[in-house]
Amino acid sequence: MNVLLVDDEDQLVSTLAERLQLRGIEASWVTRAEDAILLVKAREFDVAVLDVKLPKIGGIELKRKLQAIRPGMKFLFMTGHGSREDYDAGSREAGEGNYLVKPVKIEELLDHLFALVGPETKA
Amino acid sequence: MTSDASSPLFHDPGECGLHFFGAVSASISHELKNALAIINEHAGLLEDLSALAERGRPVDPQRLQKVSANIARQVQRADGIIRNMNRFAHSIDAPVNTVDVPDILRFVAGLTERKATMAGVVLNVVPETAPFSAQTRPFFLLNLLWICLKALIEAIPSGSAIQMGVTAEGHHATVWLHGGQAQALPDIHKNAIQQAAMLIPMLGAEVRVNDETGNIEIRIPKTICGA
Repeated sequence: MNVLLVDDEDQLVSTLAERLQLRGIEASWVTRAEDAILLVKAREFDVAVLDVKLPKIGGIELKRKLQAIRPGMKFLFMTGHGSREDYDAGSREAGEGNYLVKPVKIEELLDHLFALVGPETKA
Repeated sequence: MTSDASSPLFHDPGECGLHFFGAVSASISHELKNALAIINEHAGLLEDLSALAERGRPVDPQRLQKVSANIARQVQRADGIIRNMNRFAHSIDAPVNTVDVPDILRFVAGLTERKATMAGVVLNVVPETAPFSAQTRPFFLLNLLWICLKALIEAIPSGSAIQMGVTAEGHHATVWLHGGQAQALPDIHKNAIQQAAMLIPMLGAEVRVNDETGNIEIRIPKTICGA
């Protein structure tokens, strides 16, 4: 599985990427939406995990841009913002339940990733 | 101007204040969640590295030190956020109190920083050597400054910087906000005035645009008449 992590908290995404890599998942990370767009243009990812509240371009807008580049890509939102409105908006965009509130247990994240991408990609 | 989520109009100062309290609390809780999420990942990484060490893979002590230092940094960050939250909550303890205006401006800048970052805007409070004490309504002064700063942040392009400072003259202090390439100052001003309509008279304040400098200026009296 090839995962892209996008969050403006660099210590969060870099550590999470390292933990996914320890579990045999290929994980890349960026802290800016603009960099995510460039990376997705250059490479294919199975799934992107996006923060909802990203600077300049929000996570939902970024998801739409990435999906336009790679229509087959899957998405999962991860946020520290727990309002009902945000949950509903995120679920509408990425599918019911694909909206995780920080802090997230890695087992829970892995369950969501495999549910989105399929068990055949398990290491 | 329309009344939507980003530019609400209020019927009384209490409603305006509650909106302010909610917006700041939401921002603070978001910041805390981020700090906790980072601590959570670092703790998880330590667990992962321990599990690997048990299976015979050596762990670099420097790696452990780095993770530990990052956790300590996030604890400090969370502590700073909570201290801000505590100060903010106590700003309504006394309806009228004496405050240092430059200090209040720095505090508002701190409370608004996340919103600015999300918009790609940098906030700079210029050094202020002369303190200016004002007997005012601290919570509602914070509310007024927040409305003006928020209006400017929302109006200027991403990548801009806002300079802020305080000048004092006799019985008034003027908090000024300069948004660089702000194109629509009269609109920003009108927006802020409309949102803060209930607060301005109760603070005895004035909000205006300085045509010469392009600054939004909030004039604050040294004492509130009848306070």
